[in-house]
Amino acid sequence: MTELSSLERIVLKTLSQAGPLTPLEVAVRSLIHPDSILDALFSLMDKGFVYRRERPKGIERYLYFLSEKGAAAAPEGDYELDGR
Amino acid sequence: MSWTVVDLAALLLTGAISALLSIIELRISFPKSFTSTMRTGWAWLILSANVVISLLMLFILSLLFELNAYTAVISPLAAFILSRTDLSILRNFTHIGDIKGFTIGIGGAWFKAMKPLYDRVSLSLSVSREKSLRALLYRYPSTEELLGEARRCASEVPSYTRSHIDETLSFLNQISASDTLTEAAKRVAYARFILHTAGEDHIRRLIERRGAAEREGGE
Repeated sequence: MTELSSLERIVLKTLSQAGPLTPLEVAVRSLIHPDSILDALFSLMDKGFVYRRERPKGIERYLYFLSEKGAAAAPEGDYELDGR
Repeated sequence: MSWTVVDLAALLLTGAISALLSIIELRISFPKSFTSTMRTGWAWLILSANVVISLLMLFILSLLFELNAYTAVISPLAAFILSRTDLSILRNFTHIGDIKGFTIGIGGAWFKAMKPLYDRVSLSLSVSREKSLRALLYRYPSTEELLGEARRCASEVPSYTRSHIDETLSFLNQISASDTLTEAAKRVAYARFILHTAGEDHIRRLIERRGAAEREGGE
């Protein structure tokens, strides 16, 4: 079982709740600085929990998706930063 | 082979039920942006794939039974369920010693085939969200003003508690004070923040208000 940092768990949770997102969208939803989000996303990609697709056009270049492994590992519970 | 009215009606019924099931599945997959989803060509490709496997199932059933209303109703349901079921689970019940069980990974194959199409729908939706973001960035050339709007949004969300507001404002301050983020990245972050906290309608109102103010200023 791969060990995940708390930041990585938050990113997985955000992606599982909101669907595919750009790094800035993850940062805004999780209220965590985009630089830290990028580090967590790259680490999750190395571990196979997340993959990305290049967008045909758009402000940000990549959209990040949860892989099957990532969807299974996304933490459950009442963690919810989206207050709306 | 000649086609009767019953045959054609059976084909149409199968297609209609299959399309309906596919639309329901897309509605569940993209709950917040269903209308935009159905505007993408990829969603119609997913729907077509569902109709095709239903018609294939109807063809198989019509070889075994007569082509009638029953087979027309059962085909799309059977195709829908079978394509999403991984029958390899049966191996667990039949695997004894060297004897290999009955394994058909239809479900896995279907999900693998559909995943890139669903990814494409997500990519298209993401691009369409950016139209409103681009308009907002265009209407707010000043980063400070954009940050001001983002702060106002954080304070005006009715369901936010005091601590939640503090948390969101602290996030905006972090972005504002960042040395690593470029000015453009900060602006996009503020615009995304407004989109996330207040929604697209609010952004549309901001753009309209700003446009009206600019027109008045120009007169």
